[in-house]
Formats: sequence, structure tokens, C-alpha cells
Amino acid sequence: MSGVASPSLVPFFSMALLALVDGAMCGFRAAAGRSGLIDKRLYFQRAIVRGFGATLVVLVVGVVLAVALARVNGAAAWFEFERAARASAAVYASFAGPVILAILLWFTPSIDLRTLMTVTILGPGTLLRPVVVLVGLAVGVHASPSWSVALMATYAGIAMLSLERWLGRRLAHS
Amino acid sequence: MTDLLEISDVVVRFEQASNGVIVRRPVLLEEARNRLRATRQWRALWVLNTLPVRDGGFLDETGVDRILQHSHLELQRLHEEFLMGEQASRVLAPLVQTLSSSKGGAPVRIVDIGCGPGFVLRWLAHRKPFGAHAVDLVGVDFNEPLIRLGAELARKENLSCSFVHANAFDLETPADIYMSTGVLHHFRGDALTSFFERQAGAAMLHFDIKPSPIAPIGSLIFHEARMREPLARYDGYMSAARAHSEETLVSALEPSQGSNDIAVLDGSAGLLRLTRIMHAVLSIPKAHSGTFLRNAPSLHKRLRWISGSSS
Repeated sequence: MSGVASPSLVPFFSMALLALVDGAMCGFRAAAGRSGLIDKRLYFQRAIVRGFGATLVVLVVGVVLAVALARVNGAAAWFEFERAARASAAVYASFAGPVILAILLWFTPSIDLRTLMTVTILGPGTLLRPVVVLVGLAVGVHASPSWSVALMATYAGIAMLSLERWLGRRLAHS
Repeated sequence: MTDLLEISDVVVRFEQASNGVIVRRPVLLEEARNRLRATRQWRALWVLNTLPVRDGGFLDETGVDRILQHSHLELQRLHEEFLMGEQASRVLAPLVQTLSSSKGGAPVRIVDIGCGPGFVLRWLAHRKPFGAHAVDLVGVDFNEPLIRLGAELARKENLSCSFVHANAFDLETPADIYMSTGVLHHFRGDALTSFFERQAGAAMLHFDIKPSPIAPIGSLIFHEARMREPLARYDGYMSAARAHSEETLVSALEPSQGSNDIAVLDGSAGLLRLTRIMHAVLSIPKAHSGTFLRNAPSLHKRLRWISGSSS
């Protein structure tokens, strides 16, 4: 459709990428503290893959929901989603940046540096995550207020906040 | 002032019978409640009331053990995050190297007191930081279900270490090195002095949380973020609140260490205070402390000698 502007895909891909990283970390956290083994590389690899896979399913359902909402509301809905995704992604990226940096630095040999990352970023970050999830979604809805954006934000919020608990419950039962 | 309690201290009771055997005694819920009421620990009381109870008003041992085992696995996660294995091995490796030469190649026996499932011990058995020096790694605890868990985990990974349900000071073969992680604060007053007395003559390395104004807050953040069991959350916070100061540890340690040189590891960490959340007391037979220092150049700045060596 030449001449007709289409929404940028960058915010959508950014959100999907952030969600997948977050989901993989949810998988890790859900598994942590449940195994007493010393060598847990395989255990955590599986946990991360599980988190990643579950997030992939959540994203696919999200895309289906977005397509359905766009059919009801017309093509303008994609622009609303784009504005919301751009605003939310900015919030999540500013949280994810230091966390990813801390994880990378955790692989350095310095015990002090690794502990510093744990004390200042990784530990408090876990407690802050639910707040960041909600703030990011609120910022997205505020940037593009519509009922379809609100519905997508509600879906994303429920999925992001319940994923770790759901993964943990599965592990506890297995 | 009455000492505050950890929930895990009131929900299980292990006693040593006159024949040396460790016996488990049932715990009445009401009795445990009264101990927490006496210290006005209302949140602990709330957690206690969620624990399973069996006939006769006694705490259900199976249910309590399950919760304690889960709590210790969660605690292991914190030890992993704070690299307790690496921290311990940085002192133990040169210490083993030092003592090994005086034993003519016989294994250096390291006994981990109150080891629970023995994370540090199993970490040492897995990573083998002692090079060619032979070691005999033994974990000892009064709590039989935790010892059983440690032994089972070691077996799964084919680790060369053993777990014994006993009093660490009644073992047939005494230790060359006694160690512990997060145990010291469980000994209060004279019990702490007596704990050190019973290790006199051997080398020792005991880690515990370093008290500071921010330690209870930091501990609260980490236990809320990382632990799932309410008991583990509460006790983790309480461990930091009950941690002994360096002065308390040294004054309990000094009277019994005439033949040893004693030092504090990371007592004053300066700018690294945020990352050195544990401190440790180290005691080494005088005959070996000089060699130890030569074997551990990276520790010079982290050790403050209270007596002997380079003090």
C-alpha cells in the first residue's frame, strides 16, 4: 500500500527482545534455590530455556490478541500500539541495561566486583522488577490511551508478573 | 537484654545423650510459641503458627524437616551468589598447603561444624582448590535430616567428602582445621567461648555475617528477594541482626588460643565494605602462621592479626 504510512516495527521487536530476556531470567530465578547440586550448569540451562519458551508462547498469544484488536479497531490500532510500545520499551530498557551489565560483570574473576553487582543491582533488582513492570505498562498506556492498548497492557502485565511463579510451581511439583 | 531467636532454633531440638548419641526430642508447639512470646518476636510467632502440627500438639517432624531442607537450599543460593566457596578456599588452600607439609603428605582433615547440607564442603570437594595436597573433608551437624541431604547431594555428584551426624568435637579423628559458615551467631555468651575452647590446638576458620548498621537492611532485601520459605526469610534477617561483632568474637576466642596466632579476615574492609559482607576469625598454630603468611600473599591486606605473626 504505497503512500500509506505504516508503524515502525522497532518498538515491537524491542519489547519482544526485552520480554524474552526477562522470561529467560524468570526461568533462572524460578529454578534458583531449589537444587542443592554444586554443578548446576545443565539445570540452569534447562530452566532458562523453559523461561524463554514460555515467554515465546506468551508473545505469540500477544500477537494474536493484537491482530484481533486491530481488526476490531482498524489499522490505527497499530499506531496506538507502536506509541505505547515505544514508551514502555524506554522504561524497560533503562532497567534492563544495568541488570544485563551486572550479569556480564558477574562472569569476571573478581570476587569483589561480582559481589558488588549482586549487592547493588541483581538483588535489589529482583525486588524492584514488579514495580518496573507496572510502571512500564502505565507509561505505555499514558502515552497512547485507548482501551485496546489498556487491554494489551493488562495481558502483558498479568503474563510478566505471573510467569516466574508459574514456572516455579511447575518445578516444585516436578 | 534477652537475645532474639531464630525460628529454626525453636522448632527442632537435638540433644547429646550421655552415651554420645545425638537424640531428637519432640517440640511442643506451645513451648516454641512461649519462647518467641518471651522475646516479643511476633512475626516469628506468625511463621511458627503456619508450621504443621501432629497429635499431642507437637510440631510435625516430617513437615518441619521439609521446610528446613527447603530453607537450606535457598540459603545455598545466597552462598552461591556471595561466592562463599571461593571466599573459604582462598584461606583454606594456603592453610592446607601449610599444614600438609607438617603432616608428611597425610591428608589434612577439615571438619565443617554445623554444616547443614554442606554447601561449602561440597563446593571444595567439587572444585578441588588444594592442588596436590590431600584433604579429608568432613561435615558434621546435630540435625540429621540436613546431614542426610548433604550426603545425598554429595553422592549424586560423586564428591569426595563425608557427612557425620555427631558432635564435631567427639569425632574419633580430630580435625586439623575446624571451619564453619554462618554458625557463630548461634552461640551466645559463654557458649561461644566454650565453642572456641573445644577447638584449641587446631587451626580454625569461622565465617559469619559482619554486623553493620546496614547489614540487617541488606539482609532483609536479599532474603525477601531470594527466599520463598517464610521461615528462611525471617531467620536470614535475624542472622544479620544477631551477628557478633569482631570484638565479641576476639574476646571469646583469645582465652583459649595460647598456642595459636589469631587474626580477623575482612574485619575492616574500608571502601570494599559493601562487598565484604562476611568476616571470619582465623586461628593458626604459632609454628605454622609464618609459613601460612608466605603461602597466602593475597590475604595480607585482608587479615588483621590480633596476636602473633605480623601483628
